[in-house]
Amino acid sequence: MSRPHPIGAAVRDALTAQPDLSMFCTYQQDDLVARYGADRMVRMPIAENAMLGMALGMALTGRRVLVSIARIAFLFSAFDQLVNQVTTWRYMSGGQFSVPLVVRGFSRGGEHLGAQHEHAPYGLLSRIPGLVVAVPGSPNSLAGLLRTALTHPDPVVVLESPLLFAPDWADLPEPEPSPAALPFGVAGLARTGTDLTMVAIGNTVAACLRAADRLAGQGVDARVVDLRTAAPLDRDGVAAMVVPDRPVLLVDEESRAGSVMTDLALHLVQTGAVSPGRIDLLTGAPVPAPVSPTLLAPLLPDVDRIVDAALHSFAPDLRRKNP
Amino acid sequence: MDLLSAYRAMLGIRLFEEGVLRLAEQGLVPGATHPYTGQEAVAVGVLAARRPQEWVVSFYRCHGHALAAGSPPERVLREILGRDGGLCGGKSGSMHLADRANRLLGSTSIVAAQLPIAAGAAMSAKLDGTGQAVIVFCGDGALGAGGAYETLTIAAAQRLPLLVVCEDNGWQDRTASALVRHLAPTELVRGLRLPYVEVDGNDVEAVHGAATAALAACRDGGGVGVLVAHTYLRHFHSQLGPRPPAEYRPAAERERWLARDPLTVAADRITADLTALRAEVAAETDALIRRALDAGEPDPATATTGVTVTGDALIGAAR
Repeated sequence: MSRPHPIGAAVRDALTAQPDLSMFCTYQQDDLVARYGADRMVRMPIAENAMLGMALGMALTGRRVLVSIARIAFLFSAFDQLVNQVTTWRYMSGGQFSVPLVVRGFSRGGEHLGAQHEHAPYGLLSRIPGLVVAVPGSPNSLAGLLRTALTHPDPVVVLESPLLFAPDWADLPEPEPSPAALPFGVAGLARTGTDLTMVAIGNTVAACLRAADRLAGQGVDARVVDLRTAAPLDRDGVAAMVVPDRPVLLVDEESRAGSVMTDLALHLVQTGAVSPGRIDLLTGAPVPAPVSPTLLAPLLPDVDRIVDAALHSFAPDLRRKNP
Repeated sequence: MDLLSAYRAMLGIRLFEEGVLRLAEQGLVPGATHPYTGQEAVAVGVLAARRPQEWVVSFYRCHGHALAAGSPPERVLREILGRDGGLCGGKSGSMHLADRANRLLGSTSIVAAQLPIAAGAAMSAKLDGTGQAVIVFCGDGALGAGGAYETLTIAAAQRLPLLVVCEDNGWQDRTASALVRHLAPTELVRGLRLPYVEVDGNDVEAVHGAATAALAACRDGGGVGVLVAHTYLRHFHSQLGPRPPAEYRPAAERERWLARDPLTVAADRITADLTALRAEVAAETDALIRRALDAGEPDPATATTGVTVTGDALIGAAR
């Protein structure tokens, strides 16, 4: 119950191990300032574009910065630096420079802050060449992915669901055994099962694990795969993790068009990992996030909808096993 | 600064840039080129004042900065032409030159985006505690961008050793700056209470003197400083494709500035006969252009290299 959040140790361990690591933050973290000094814990004004550019300048000159951007929604203010600068300088310079910087911020979930604060744009970010997009689905995987990010030689964005920090975060289903470093581009098997595979990312990992518990009560044994990173996307790894000859349900909060799940679906079908009739997607609606919880609920996949999709999309398959 | 070597450096840039424009008119330059002709005294005067380990950050009008920073002219030209052996392997072209060996951190084609990047490098310099400054070049249009304001306020608050060199040529692409701003660059930075100095950007000795003092103040803990150099382009803002754009600036303004060419201003103060030197630089430039034109194309297999350190396995490319 009083378990410390694993992110704290991940950040402190990195700051201790890497004297060249600085943090840019718009919110003061007094304990970290006291421990690592104001020179490294740089307090910044609300100026995301300049923050990302400065982090790039430091990265190009041999340092590393963890940019705590508060909310991923604010990353759009810094999109020039992210898309045109941070992720291109290595390539444009013919490989003369590398850009080890990390951006972390709250994405979406449980806060009901509305259309300008609630974003989980991993599909969009995953299309930027050279960028790692980490989308942790549990507190331990957040710590594990951040640990890798802080030693990674290329730019990384970590989209952190506020649900991973909510008062009841310790009650979230936890597929990772420990907060140890997790590799990028390697999906994890969050739950074993033999009847169907559900592929999840970010907030849908917990939802799928809870749905799998519900399905188990109805005699359906569901496997859950956690993508962990939207880029690199572990297409081959997922193809190897689906249950042969059984259905696959891809579950995503983002809308369908151009999403990592449509990309993955094509790969699974093209490689023959799943037959076209046995794959389905359950995704979010292409609608800005309304503040009202009543209006938001129907736009996102939740446990009820996942259970329903699992049972109905593949009714013939599941009926065959569970007459 | 030795005036004769400054003249030589400025002449080298001038002839290089005129060569690039000739090549562009022959359709040999992929993409756009932004000539530095007329502004040579700024790059040469400022960079003669930097310490060898100090980083330089530039923008799309970067050829002059790269050459004055010490980048090998032939490799710069090969890069501009997209040939094998270019400074950045054919991936930067004219607008994004970077040269780690000569401490050119890079150049960006997005107006003002270089300012925060340079401020980050200055933060590194401050943390390193080696007393180095960072020099960033920008046009006067850049000071109207949001990122400039953000950067200058942060750099001032953090007392970052950053020298912003504003090349005020009075034009933002084809728009006269006076039409789209209500404050001159000096008034803008005065409003931010930043130390600044204004200088005749066509007088290489004046530029050098001002830059030397401004850099000393930056390095000495004075934090961000601004050098506003008034200058003018001999040619257009940019050329895209083989046809040079028509002149768009008022004839009287153009005449007035072209009469004060930085090469003439410097040459008038040099007593030695410059005939031999001019012939020598012209021959060198012709030779490097010939060699660059003789170079082959880059290996197409390198198109996908250098996106990440970790390589294609982590790019997640669709196969």
